Amino acid sequence: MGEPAAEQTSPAVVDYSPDWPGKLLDGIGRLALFSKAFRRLDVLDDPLAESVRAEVGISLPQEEVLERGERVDDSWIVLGQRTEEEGHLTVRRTWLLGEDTRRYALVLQFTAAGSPFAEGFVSGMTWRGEIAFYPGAYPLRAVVRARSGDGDRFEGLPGHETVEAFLDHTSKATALLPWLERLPAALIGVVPLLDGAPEGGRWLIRDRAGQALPLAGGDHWTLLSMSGGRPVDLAAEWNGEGLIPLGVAAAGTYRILAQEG
Amino acid sequence: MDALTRAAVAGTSRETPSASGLPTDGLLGSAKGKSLERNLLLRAGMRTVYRTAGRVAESGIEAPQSAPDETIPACSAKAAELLGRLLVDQRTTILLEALERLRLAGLRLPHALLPGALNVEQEELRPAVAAVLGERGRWLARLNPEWVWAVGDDGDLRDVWDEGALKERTSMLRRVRERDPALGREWLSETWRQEKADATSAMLEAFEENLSPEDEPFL
Repeated sequence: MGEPAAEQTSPAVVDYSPDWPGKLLDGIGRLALFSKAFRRLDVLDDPLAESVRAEVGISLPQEEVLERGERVDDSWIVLGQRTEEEGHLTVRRTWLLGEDTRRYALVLQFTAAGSPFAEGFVSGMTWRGEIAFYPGAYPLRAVVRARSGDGDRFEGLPGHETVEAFLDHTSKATALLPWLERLPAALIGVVPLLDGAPEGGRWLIRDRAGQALPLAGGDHWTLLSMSGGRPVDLAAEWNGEGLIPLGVAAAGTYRILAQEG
Repeated sequence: MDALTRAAVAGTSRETPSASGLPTDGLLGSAKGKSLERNLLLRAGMRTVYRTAGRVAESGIEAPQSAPDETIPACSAKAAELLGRLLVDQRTTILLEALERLRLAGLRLPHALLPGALNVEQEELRPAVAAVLGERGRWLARLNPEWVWAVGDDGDLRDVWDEGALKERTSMLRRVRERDPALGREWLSETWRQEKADATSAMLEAFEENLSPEDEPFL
């Protein structure tokens, strides 16, 4: 969010994978679509036009979001966080999942490198509160309006029961907003596995129906160890290619998963 | 490389971009007044969105063998936190003592700490780690050739040799050759006829461990 297709068009794509020309073309192609959408802003539906404006970097002031954004009250599970350095800024993505509404939400925080974030979130905990979504075709980014404490550990992840249900969800989201770079994923009862030897092998998750999706972002030994070949509940970021784990709920405990090697 | 990517790499003057062959081609409308380049990029963009939206799951991936049930309890969450920090710092003496105490208390490492414990660099820590791995740790060790030292006794090694993937099997063979060269030779000679060509050459490399005249007849 915030910088359309920037990741796919960055120089890092080049030389990294065997199919880098294809990937680069995908990224530039998305940019071309996006620029076309931007030039036709006046004929787009309001929600889509708001999304396009946000993608290009014209973001609404928080006060306006709090004022007119869709408000949702729920018990919000903090699925996990990712922190990245972007130039002299530190950007933190916090992924939330509503226990009752099953809505996903993303809280973006920015700070000058090194200084702490104004508001803290503890992964694996829930808090009761109201959030306001930034308006858009597929509202995901949100700001917290009111919350009560750090709450409790949650019981069970209210996620997708099958890989198919999850893909159905991503498909709908992509149809609404084709520039989505990453989506959160809460998957219930999946078995992580390593297909082949560690070198050159593939990391995957497999649901009860035998449907599988690749894991991304390095090795996943901790996840594998927590599961022991049995179903676990997994929270992850989906980047269109693979799942990058955020946390895992196994045998009654939630554990944050940092990216490994 | 597909036609669109080829055209993008070669340049539209050399290779006229063809339609991607997907239903999205129809969305482009009339190409009149649009440059070839812009058409190509829009096609590529629609194709990638089309693919993302139409992503399907993989099937045919077999479920892994699950780990046996644990027979002893894990240490407390507090102890786990301490141990986790010691494993990160790799402070040998204090880690040795902590692992020993864990063993004496009849406890094992919690599952989340197992990869870190199996990755300990100092060889002297390995016996202490092996004693508190639990069933899960031994199960996990079989999946990574670097962790074969933790797999267990000869019987467990033999299981990996019989059922493992090529890489696991060669590292297992190497380990057996280190300890008992004759046993390693025996294992390989038993299965020699069924091994594939690429497997045999990888396995013969394990014979550099403790190579002796006794290996000559077999080789």
